[in-house]
Amino acid sequence: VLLAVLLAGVVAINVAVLGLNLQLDEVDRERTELEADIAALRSEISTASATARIERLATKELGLVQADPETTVYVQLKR
Amino acid sequence: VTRPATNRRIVLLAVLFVGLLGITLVRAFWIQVLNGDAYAAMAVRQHRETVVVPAARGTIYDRNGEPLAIGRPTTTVFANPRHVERPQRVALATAKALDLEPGDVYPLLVDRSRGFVYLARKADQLGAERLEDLGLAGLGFFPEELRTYPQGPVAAQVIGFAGMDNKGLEGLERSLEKTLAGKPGSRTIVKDPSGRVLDVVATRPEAPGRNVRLTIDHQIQANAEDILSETVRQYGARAASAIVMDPYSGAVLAMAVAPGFNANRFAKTRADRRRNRAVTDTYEPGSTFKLVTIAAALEEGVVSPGSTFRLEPTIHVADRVIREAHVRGTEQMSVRSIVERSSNIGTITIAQHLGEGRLADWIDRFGFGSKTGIDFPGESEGFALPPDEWSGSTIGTVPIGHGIAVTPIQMARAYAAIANGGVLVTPHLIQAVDGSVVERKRGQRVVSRAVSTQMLSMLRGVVLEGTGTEAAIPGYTVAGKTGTAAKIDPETGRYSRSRYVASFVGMVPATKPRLVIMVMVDEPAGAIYGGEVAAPAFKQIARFNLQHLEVPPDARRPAGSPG
Repeated sequence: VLLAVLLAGVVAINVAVLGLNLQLDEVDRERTELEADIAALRSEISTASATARIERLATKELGLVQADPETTVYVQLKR
Repeated sequence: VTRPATNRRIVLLAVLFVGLLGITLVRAFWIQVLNGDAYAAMAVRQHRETVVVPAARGTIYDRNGEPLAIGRPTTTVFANPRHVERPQRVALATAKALDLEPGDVYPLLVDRSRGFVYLARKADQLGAERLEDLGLAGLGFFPEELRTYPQGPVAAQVIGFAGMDNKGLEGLERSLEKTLAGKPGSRTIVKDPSGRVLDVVATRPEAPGRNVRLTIDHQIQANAEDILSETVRQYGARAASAIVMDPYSGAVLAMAVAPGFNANRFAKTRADRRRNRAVTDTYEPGSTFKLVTIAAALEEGVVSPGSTFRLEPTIHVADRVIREAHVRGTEQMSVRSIVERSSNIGTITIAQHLGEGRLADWIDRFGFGSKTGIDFPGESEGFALPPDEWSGSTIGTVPIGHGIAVTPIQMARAYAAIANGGVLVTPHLIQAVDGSVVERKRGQRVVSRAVSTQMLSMLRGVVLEGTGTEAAIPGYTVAGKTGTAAKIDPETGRYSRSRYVASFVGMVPATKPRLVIMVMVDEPAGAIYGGEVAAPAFKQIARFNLQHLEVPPDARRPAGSPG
């Protein structure tokens, strides 16, 4: 009986280890996917915020014009 | 059948079974005891797999933290055609998942002469994952990083690019390979027959590459590139380059070359478009080089800004007759006027007073003929004739920027020395690695503060009433110098009458320069003078930069004007 209980215990531990390994693999896979998603999103954000693209959209689609540097007013603040 | 015969048969059968059992036991002993370890190892090997975990390549940022080059995880899909069971089905599934043409995939899968074919390098990760989940025999997958350049053409010649194997091939991507690359890791796993992971036997973590922050400001860079492209288009020029530099630190805020290219499509771009001409190419500077001659003469006490000379319309030097760019009669001219009007004869006269030896020494002190030490690969030294090789006519050519070859970055550095009070700094593009600021050597004083102030004042006159009036910016004081130099005709070996380099190097605001801006236009057509072609480009670049950097105006405006 003792032997049977011990054997059952060993089997149970092995099954638990196997289950944990499967979980670990799944979590690792998720981590890789999330890292890939983050990198892809960073790439998309960088491309979307590229100056040339924003300038093109601003001038061609919104009809904006670049501010004339000579109209910029600088205010000297007293310290 | 008699009883003894029956017993004999039973005994024979028993012996046979015992024999077979013995053989089985011996075989079992042989396999499990004597060769047990070897077979166990073989079994593990069959289910064990070592997966390389690629190290992420470091990101390249501009000075404001905007990514200029980043890595994107992708999956490469390959096949072993000998193990593919239903090529047609696999081709359709692959094409659907990876957005490919089935007609392109199918021939690869049926070519059983090869054991390995790429179906898609650096494919979209999600698509590859969907394909992997189908469990099709003969397909394989491994992770790879795709290098992308989110700003497209911005600073493409500076950043360079990494190839298909993610190794830097040109520009900073190449010179910073060791910093950016990192070290790949690995995971050794044991799988069950259905491919599920049973155990992780060994793990070697990957070490990601280090991030690099440049001195480049992507907005100043993009603006300079746009203006250069427009200048090249307007004058039908061969190429143009521009440098925007902080004269005190040597930090390069922009290094633009036109025509440019999109680093994401580098393979389809001609090699000459990928070159960073501002560092690798040399040109004869013409009049912008007069700065060296005049500064040297002032520093040596040979002349002062008020010294005057009686200048004939031409000057004879050895066997050559040298003229002004614009015909004039005999005139009395001060050094200030010589600079403002860019007089060849005046500059040569001053150089003759200075002497060949001292001039050659000053050319060397200003860093011409040797590399500036900029942290960019493939820098050219330029060419300055050693003093012992000067001929009788050299004193008539070198002082006005002929017979000498310089790079745009050398010229920008020389003007930076005048702008910052007389110190020759090392231009640089790399600000920090993984947040640690790169230490720089202190600059070397080349001229006194007094001489740099005198030079700045004379160079202001160039823009106020000399050859560089097109560089003037309302509200700001500008100092600078124009340059127009004929190129050597490769067919005749003589100076061409149709090919010129037009340039302008300026400093703004001239009362306390924040920026040195160098513009060089190669072979403009129609207009050829630096004051006509390069000075307007300088003005546009400078106007944008002053506003972008919030530099307040320093020049008095006429009463009633805004601002």
